[in-house]
Amino acid sequence: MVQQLSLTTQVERYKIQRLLLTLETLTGNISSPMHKHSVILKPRYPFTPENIPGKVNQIDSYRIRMNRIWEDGYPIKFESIDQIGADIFGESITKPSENINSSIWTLQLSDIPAGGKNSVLIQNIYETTIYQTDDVIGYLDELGYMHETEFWTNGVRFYYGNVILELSHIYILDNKTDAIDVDLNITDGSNTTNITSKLKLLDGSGNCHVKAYVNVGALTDLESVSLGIKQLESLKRELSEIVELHIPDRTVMDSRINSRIANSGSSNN
Amino acid sequence: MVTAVLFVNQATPTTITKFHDMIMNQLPETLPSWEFELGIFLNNKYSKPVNMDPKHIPNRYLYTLQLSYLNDEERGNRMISIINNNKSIVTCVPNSTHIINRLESFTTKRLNYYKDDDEPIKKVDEKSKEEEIVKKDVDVDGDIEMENENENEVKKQIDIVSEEKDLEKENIEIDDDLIMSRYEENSLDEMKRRKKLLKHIQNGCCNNLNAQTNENLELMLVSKLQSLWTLKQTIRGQGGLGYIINVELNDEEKKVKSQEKFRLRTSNCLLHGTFKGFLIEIEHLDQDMEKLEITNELKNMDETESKNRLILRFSRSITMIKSLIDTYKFPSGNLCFNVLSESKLDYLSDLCQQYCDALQF
Repeated sequence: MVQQLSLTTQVERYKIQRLLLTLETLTGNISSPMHKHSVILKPRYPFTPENIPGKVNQIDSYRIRMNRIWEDGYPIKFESIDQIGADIFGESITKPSENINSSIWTLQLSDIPAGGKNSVLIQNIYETTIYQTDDVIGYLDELGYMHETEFWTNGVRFYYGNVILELSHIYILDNKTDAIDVDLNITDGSNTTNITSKLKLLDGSGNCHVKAYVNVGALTDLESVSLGIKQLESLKRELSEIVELHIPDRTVMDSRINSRIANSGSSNN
Repeated sequence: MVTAVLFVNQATPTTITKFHDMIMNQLPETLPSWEFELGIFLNNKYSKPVNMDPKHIPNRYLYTLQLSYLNDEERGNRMISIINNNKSIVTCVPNSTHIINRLESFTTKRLNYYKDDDEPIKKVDEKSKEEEIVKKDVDVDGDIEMENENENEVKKQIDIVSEEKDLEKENIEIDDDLIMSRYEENSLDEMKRRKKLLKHIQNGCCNNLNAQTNENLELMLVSKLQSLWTLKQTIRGQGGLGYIINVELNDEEKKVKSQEKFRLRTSNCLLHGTFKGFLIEIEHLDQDMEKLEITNELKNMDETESKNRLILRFSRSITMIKSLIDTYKFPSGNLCFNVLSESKLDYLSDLCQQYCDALQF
């Protein structure tokens, strides 16, 4: 289990270049690319325990997020802002292929972030990596999970002390253009386009998502936690001229099925 | 590599010592001690389609198997899991330091190694050989400590060990099995996978890179997936010993004697602390076939052809394993050699399947 301490923010499109330069100067390093394909899974069947009076049911069911490398279909670098409207493709979990089934996937399951007066968000993440399989969807099906939604992350990472900084654009399936995709296959004739689907930006304005986080491996490692908080706070101060890192709303980060907190949160929006 | 698991239900201390004595007489190479843990989960009947009664939900089982010998520093809490004798996965927590440090140098080296079929030994650097020797010495010491209860045994073992060391010195220059055995799944696929895992980490797909972590799939099942699975039994294997033996067996088909190599691992199996039986894991090390397969993999042989070869290889190995059991009069028990999928030999999930079959109480 990892305790993740984090701060997030949104950056407008025209500010991205400036932030990239600042981070290069601050960290003394160029960024490394990050291409991720994430799938959100939910239990196939609802969990409906018996209601015996006097017996308190404490078992929750959770969504699972699974990540793998987004290997094919991203023609643009994150830094090339001008090309934000360009065609982007990804292999969707809805079209199972050998590539999807034999990829290395990391399963992540998270608690709702801790409440209270912290200067950063603290969330427990349980994680295991599927290293070897030839039918990941089959296994997850047997496990009792099915896919709910999926997204693709195109971004860059910076390392600053223990802090990892991620700037990213999120893409989702562009359902409207499925028909066009088929046409493309005929003209193109290549294998890659056959199995990939067209994607679009989740946020069409081209604003980017920024996340700064520290992972602490051991639950009892309070020293690293306080060090991580300090490092995040100092980073926040250093970047305050360009972006304002803040604590994200914990209630929308609840991955439990039928969660009252998450539901009340979303109904307010 | 083809494996089988022999489970001796009616084992007594005599059968166990007799077996070890017999193996020792074959002058084996000893392996480090090992342990295993098999978790058996049953599906939670209350996760179900809305209109179904929990009583009508069929039983389904999920197994998790952890083998300590798979979990050396670079493999990170490996765990094999099978659901319903059907689908399998191998999970790990990619502990960063070791993986990243070793991976870069290691993968490129090994990939080159496989491309160059003519001189495989020279491609492996001297350093890892030295490491291997140091490791072995330590392991041998460890084994002696293990046997301390039985004085005769110790004497015998020391004799054998010293003989073996001499043998080893002679062999070290020509025998690359030492290095091969260290990287058990030394297929091309495994090398590619390790490279992929590094990319996976670099792309921020996983968070837990703590080298001291005890996280694995079982922890996730027990702590967060209780609505789907309930842990019913944990079977532990303790006091495990391991050997590699070279023996002469009759090849029934060709009517000739052939020199065959096996890896044997033995363990006592405990359920809730009570002794349930003696387990012998048998692995046929058919290196010629292994190398052939790698060459074929590089040649991109067509599918039916390689499938046929696989079946042939499997049946030969199983015959050899049975012949080994007969010839050396292994204690009688339940021999499990089922494989998960007939079209494909998958060393780890097949092994897990065999453990599950063998350890049914």
